[in-house]
Amino acid sequence: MQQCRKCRINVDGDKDRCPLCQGELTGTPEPEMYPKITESRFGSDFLIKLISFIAISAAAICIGTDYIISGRITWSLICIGGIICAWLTTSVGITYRRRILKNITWELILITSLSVIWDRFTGWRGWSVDFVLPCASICAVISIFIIAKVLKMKSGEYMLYLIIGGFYGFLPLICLIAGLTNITYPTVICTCLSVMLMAALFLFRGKTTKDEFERRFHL
Amino acid sequence: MKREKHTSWSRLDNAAKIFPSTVEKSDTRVFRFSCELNDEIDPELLQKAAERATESYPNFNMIMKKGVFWYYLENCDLKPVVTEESSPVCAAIYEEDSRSLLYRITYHRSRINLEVFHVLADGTGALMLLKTIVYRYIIYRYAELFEDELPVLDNDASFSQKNADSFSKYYDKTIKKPKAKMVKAFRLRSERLENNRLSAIEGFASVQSVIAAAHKYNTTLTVFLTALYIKALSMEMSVQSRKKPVVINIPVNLRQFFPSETAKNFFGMISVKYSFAKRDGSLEDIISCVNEMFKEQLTKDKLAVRMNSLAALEHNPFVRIAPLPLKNKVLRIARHISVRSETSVISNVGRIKMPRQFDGLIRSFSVFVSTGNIQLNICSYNDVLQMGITSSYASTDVQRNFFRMLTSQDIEVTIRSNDSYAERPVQEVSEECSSAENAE
Repeated sequence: MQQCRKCRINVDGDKDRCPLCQGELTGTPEPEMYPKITESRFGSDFLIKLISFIAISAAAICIGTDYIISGRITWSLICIGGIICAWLTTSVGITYRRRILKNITWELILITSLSVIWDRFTGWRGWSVDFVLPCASICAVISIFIIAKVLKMKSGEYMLYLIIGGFYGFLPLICLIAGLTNITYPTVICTCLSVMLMAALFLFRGKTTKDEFERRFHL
Repeated sequence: MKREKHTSWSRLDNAAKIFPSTVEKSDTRVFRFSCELNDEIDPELLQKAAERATESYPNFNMIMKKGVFWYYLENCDLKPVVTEESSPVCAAIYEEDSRSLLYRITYHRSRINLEVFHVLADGTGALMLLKTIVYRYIIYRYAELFEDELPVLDNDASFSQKNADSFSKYYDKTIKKPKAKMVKAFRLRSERLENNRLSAIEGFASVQSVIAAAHKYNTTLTVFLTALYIKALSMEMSVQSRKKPVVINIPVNLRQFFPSETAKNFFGMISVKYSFAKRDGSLEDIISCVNEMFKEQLTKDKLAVRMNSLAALEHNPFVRIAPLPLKNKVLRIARHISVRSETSVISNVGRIKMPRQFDGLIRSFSVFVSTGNIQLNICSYNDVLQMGITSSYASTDVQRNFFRMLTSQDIEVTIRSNDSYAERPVQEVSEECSSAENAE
């Protein structure tokens, strides 16, 4: 046991100085009762910081090159738009990297909204609502379903995402009714699939779906 | 198609509702109970004991999920995995979106640690679980000692009793809280530890020797230690800050006043206020003040009022319909404001009882609670009194004052600490600078 004369206390463990007054200790050290903790070199937000750094550097280089070549800022604006979109989708992917279904759901919402924005500012050719929105919804719902089955998830784990995916699958139909859609077959397939999904959820998993609603919405 | 088992879930109890929203890197809302045995721990037996013990506490086998309006707990079939202690004391447990248990069982040399996220249980509930784990472990490890007769653990609550939400059981709408003016309390101002670490310094002393010292002042152990702690804090006050009172909040186990066997949260708060500007500041005077305040507040009626004011938040319709992210923001701000009227917290778990037959096997129990400030935690087992001070400050002046006052009463104290404290003297941070940091 070590002793601190100034505090008149015994000190357990193996210390260089008195934990209370940082004074000198006498006596013989004993094995430590608390483990030495080693801090990990990278914090949990390291990846986000890294991709943010890459994005900012890329944007700076683009603008710089553009300015050197043409003397003003032209094509680099589009590049920056692309960089922002890439940064957004990657950071969402990193943030939810441990929760694959949540990840898919957020990416679905993000990617479809971003493509509508792109479409809008590049002369509204309608590709976002014609193809991206219905196709992304179909892919998301099917992959959620397959992942849930492969990973043998319990219904409570994937139910919410199927429900969200199912509802999201009716967005293309709304666009169609609003007259925004030119090429209709992806929308039709997506709507059929969503109807089937909602029917299956309601008929085969009615109780679980209701329970999930109750849990998530309890006041 | 195979029919799936229905997953049961439960709301957070009244006290638990505030915890997930107010988790911060510097205050993880996790507390730790440890039990030190005489021999090194056998990890395999501890694993077996942990699995067996947690089976009888269904309210611990839960994961937390986010709803639209509130967090909630969902039953799961995860088993606890016992590991060697490798993270800081009271390190964060709840990680958003991770399907993992809200408690952690670790060991280091001869010590078993149970760390619990406060959402699951309060000290009493967690202690029930640790006692069961230790009991199981000892029975497996020293089977030959108990061949003739198995010792009995004083705990016979049923699953539903352990799972009961006693806050809502005793909620009485008709009791209204009298409006009290908020006082700004004295707050320690000092440099914080790096990486939001928590310094854990514990002192062990003989219960008898501390009681003897308390008797010299004609008082009880709890009052005596509370008074010493107030004195230890006051020694760090500047002349300016002496105008503000020292306010110590003390959680009280409500099971003593309102019959309940719940293993969830069921505690109330009382607070002790001492003004060094108005009174003389001698230890005798602090003791008499603390004594009076204890007597006044530790009554069933007074505690019922406090309990109801807490429950009122949950029953407030505006709070209820606020979506979770907004609620988190509001509760966090509310906590930052309420913390200003508190100097520190003393959490006294009291005497921990284990079967008599274990006397030669168990050395001591310890308790630590995470804090963004400084906190004193007390428990005792047989004649071993543990006083653990957790602090997120680099300076150890309050700890030094407290333990030196004990040794000056001729009480023998043995100190133990984790490695999170400044090895060099720390410089005081100016008041403005640190309050700016706090306001963030």
